[in-house]
Amino acid sequence: MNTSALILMLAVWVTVISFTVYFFVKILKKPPDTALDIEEGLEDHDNQ
Amino acid sequence: MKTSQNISAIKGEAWGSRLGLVLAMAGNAVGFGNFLRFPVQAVQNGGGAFIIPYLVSLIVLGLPLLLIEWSTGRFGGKFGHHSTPTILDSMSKKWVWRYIGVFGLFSNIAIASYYCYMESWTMSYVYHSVIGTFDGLNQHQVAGFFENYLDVTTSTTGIPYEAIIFFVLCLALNTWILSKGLSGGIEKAAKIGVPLLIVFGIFLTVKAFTMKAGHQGAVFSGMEGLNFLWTPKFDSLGNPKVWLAAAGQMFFTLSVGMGTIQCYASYVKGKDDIALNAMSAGFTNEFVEIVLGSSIIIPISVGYLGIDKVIELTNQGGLGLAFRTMPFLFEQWGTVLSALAGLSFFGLLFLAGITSSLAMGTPILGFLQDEFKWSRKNSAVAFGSGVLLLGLPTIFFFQKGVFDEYDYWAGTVSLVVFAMLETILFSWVFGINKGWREINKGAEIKIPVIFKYLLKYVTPVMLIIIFFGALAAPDNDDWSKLGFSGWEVSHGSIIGKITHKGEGPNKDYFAHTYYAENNGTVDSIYSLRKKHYIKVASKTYHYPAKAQLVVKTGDTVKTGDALYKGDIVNDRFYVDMARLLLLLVFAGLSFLVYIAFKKKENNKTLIS
Repeated sequence: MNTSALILMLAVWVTVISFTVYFFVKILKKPPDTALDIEEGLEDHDNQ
Repeated sequence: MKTSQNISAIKGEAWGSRLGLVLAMAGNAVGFGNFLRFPVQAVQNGGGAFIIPYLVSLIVLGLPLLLIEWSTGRFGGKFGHHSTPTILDSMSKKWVWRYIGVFGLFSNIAIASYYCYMESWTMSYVYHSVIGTFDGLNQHQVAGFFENYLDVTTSTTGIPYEAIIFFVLCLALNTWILSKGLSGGIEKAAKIGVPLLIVFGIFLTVKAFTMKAGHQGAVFSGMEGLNFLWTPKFDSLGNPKVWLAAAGQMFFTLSVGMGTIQCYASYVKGKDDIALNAMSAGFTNEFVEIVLGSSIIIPISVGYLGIDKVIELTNQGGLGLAFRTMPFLFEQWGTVLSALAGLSFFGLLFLAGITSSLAMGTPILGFLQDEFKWSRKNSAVAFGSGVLLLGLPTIFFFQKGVFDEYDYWAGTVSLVVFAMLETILFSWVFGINKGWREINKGAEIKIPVIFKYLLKYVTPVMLIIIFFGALAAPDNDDWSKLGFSGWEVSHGSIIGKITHKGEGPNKDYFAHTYYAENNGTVDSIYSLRKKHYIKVASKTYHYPAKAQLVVKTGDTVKTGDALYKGDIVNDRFYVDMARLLLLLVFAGLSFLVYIAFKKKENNKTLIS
């Protein structure tokens, strides 16, 4: 594999993998409740 | 009364866990395009240099659109809306936006109707890989298997109407999972499907990386293919075509402009984060595309076929490479490993496909449940039935261009138009300040403030450029031809498609004579599996059994010369009927939206 192709591939791969892992670690650290709060939405709607 | 009905209709629908939501969103984004479209686009648009416009598109187009769609979805969800007509309507007082939201229903049902068909191919290929159908077949026979599979009247496996059987099976599975609800169906499918897909992808990547020349029939090593794909051709960056291809890839890969992200995000609690969720799902998709997608079909194909042959095959697109060629290449790995590789490759595509098609069903279900108070089960059956009816023309008239028409109008044009309009709505009608507050509400990561300006100025301008690029792309993608005095548009542009530009002499719907569409000598006239063909130079024409030939082998013909006579239905008829059908679907959905809002207004009047 030629050097420019190898450097480009590795640089892109490392960047993409790092971001993916970083975001996923943050997600797994704090899993909040995602249930829909419909009443809150209706309150917002009334306030509009 | 209306409010309590709304709550009861929606209260049962919620994501069971945050990880489930992110995996479902990632599954929505990861599709066939990650494995089949991205590597082919890279090869055709500058190799490794393609990654530069691709990453620029990710920053100025992909990530902003993700933020827009996640935040508008969560915003609409607060009012109990789960489909784009009502979500967009909640963002502006102008009635027109609810009809622009119809794009978010239309593209899903229309794309699902041909996407589920492709999904059924992968299901069938998993089955045939495992039972060893491809064992001992040569490359030509493997390619022929795919051609016959697409021709529903021919069966090479003993299963009559096999393509339809697998399509119905695939639809039934989609419908069943959708009927199980968000956390009980879609989330469970994503939690199994996405990790399994990554495991399959890693297995094939390792296999591609460790391929050695001279071993198991390989002519080149796997690294040769990676080198071919990643070697940057920086001079290609001066060509606007490359930049438009990168921007186009961004649409397909992130599943933006479809209304699915808004729908999934509408089930997120009003104060919960969307910024980190959007980035996690987006980058999971990028990992699958850039790392796994670039490491499978091109390195393995180059290893066995060499660079020149792969360039020729990529001109037919990634689908052809996957279904016509890959099973033959896997065969070289021996009986057990080829079955495992077939299972992994087509299983990976199936999982990528089903997690996307489930996302396409959700906005339709949300719309029927919210606006017409249908049960989830009935809504799922309605979606499945609609996809079946709309999908059948793509199966029966695949060779007539119906499949391509669906892909062009629903899977390309509709996405660009909707993304452009929703961006204008978010940044300029809803207002960027309000929008920025929505994005940052509950955010667990800080989105750089530069994105506020990208969202307001750069992303809408980019989308308008892409739209005009699609509308009137110059012939042969030669952008130097652009000028104030006008230019010849490409037959692949919207204008070119509408005007049937570049079509041959067979322009009438119904005719009694079929004319040659190229120049050359009649090389052969032959029959194969009850079908009849005339080969003129590099082009092969199929003719009906009852047709009366007016040429014979050795004749020289020119474009417009008669080839045969009989009762002929030209492809243009099927193409125009497909367009009309899609138009009717859009009009029908618009009418349903009109009824839904009329009902809302009547209810308001009754209450007051």
